[in-house]
Amino acid sequence: MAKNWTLALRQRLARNYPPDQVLPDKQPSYVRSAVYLFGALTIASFVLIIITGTVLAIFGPQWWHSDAVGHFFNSLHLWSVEAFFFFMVIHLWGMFYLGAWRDGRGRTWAMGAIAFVVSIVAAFTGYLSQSNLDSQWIAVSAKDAMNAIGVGGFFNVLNFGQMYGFHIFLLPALLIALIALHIVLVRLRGVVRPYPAKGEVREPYRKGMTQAQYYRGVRMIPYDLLREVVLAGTVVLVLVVVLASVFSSPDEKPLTMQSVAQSDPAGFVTVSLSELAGNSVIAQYGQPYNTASGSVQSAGPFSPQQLAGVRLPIDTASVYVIGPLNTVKNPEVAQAVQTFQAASADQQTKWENNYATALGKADGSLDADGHLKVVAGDYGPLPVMFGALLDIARSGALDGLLLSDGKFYQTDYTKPLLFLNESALPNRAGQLNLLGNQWGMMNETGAYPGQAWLWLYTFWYQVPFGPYNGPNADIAVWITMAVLTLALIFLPYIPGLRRLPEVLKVYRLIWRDHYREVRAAQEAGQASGDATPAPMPELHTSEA
Amino acid sequence: MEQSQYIHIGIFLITVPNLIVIGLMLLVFAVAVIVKLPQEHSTQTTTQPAEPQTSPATPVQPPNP
Repeated sequence: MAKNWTLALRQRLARNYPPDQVLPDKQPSYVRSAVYLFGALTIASFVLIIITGTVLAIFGPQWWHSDAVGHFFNSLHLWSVEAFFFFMVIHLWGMFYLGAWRDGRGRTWAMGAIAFVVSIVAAFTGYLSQSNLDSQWIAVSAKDAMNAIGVGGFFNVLNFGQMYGFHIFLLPALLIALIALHIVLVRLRGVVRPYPAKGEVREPYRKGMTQAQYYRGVRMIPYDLLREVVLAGTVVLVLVVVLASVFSSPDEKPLTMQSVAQSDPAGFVTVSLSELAGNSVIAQYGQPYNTASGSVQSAGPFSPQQLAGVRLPIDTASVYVIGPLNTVKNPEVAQAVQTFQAASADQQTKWENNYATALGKADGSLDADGHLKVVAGDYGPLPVMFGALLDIARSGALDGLLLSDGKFYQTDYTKPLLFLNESALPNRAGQLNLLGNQWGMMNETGAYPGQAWLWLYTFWYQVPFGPYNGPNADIAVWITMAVLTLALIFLPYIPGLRRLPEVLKVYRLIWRDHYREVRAAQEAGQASGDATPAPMPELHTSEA
Repeated sequence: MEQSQYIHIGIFLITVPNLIVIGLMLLVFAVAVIVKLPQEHSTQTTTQPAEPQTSPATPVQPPNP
């Protein structure tokens, strides 16, 4: 082989990534606006997210719950995320108003917009990985949206292990690649020229233009990319450390089967009874848990939820009642289960209905055996069964049983979370204003800012009419947001929309000095009688 | 744990911390639009040198004359 691969690679890199463009030391004078700083601030925040996240990952997901240093690192991580979105949204606004996608920079915009969307997914999986009440509630709320579009059985937000893997490896890796690509495109293309002023003469943009050609006649000023990045990093670091030190981060204790059975035994038994009777929300849910249809959503005749099928089968009577009771080594309990299973369906239903009515009237007090007191009635073996189930739950054993699938390591919380979502979690979330119709998607537990960047997503759930206020709300919101997200990504290619900044004219304010210089140059050109406007003035510093 | 204060107008319900964050974002953006970064004081500014033109310079129409 005659060709030297190393030489070819070096030549290709030198040709495609010229060092003076990748690491520039001068920029057009019109970038001397604070609007241009937010990209660097966003990247600095992202670097801090990666560093603090790495420390949290090294010590494991439980570390920050029990260790003061760990909690501080979690606070740094949280406030880095807040800073990241804060600066990224302002960066996005700035680039929108400047029409930054013009002159062949559509891919740069699209890459940034995709990075924004992936960031939201990364933050989402981070909230799911907190392993506290917030993550429980976000998980059970989000599962309906995931199930509605048919991905819930594959991207199971109730499976902590899966979400943690996405959060600490897959999504950061994707995000690093996207951000790196975005930066490389920004550096190779250079910042876009201002919208032309009236009567301005300039060489029109054409594909393949070098930066030297693109900026011809533009006044360049010294620029220190590295110093800007270091300064941005310092600003973000100080900001995040101060915020983390002053405000810390929330960590509301999660609910467990044990805590619910202990604090509300009547509620626990009532939900357990509905699981046995098959009339609970999950028993009636549909895909991906079973073939019922209670929570199946569709867009017209099309239901991706049904199409995806039963991916996480859950027989509620077996999982939540019969299975746990079968682990009890007590002849009376074993006999009760046998009696129930041997009875006819009508008899079972009669016992269940009678017991449900009695539970509705129960005051929640327990007898000497620690079982729920109900008025005497024809309940068959149910009081024995649910007395034993309550014992298991109050002891904490049920939490373990619902996680266990015969393996040693367990990270899938689908079963306990689905049970807790029947009543206990919505009740607690409602107290904390976290419900969907309370704009809960944006809210954080405690007095903390939440995911303000999800305002548009959660907004649709507040619309009191149409598909957003019915049984197909999730899929309607998904479709709406998918269209809007695609519009954001492909904005540079959408006629009309891509000219919005020209109508809004915010760019005139940002580039006001540039336009002043252009005007001065034009006036100078006219004064000299020159048909062509004079070149841009060379502005010298006070030291010059 | 202390809970957030809420502002509730019609269908709009927002926590005070979220409102502060959104308000700060708008404020910071408005300030950024107005603020100019300090001029470099150590080096002369230059104009991108002209190169042999491959296509003639043409007047460009402003977006909204």
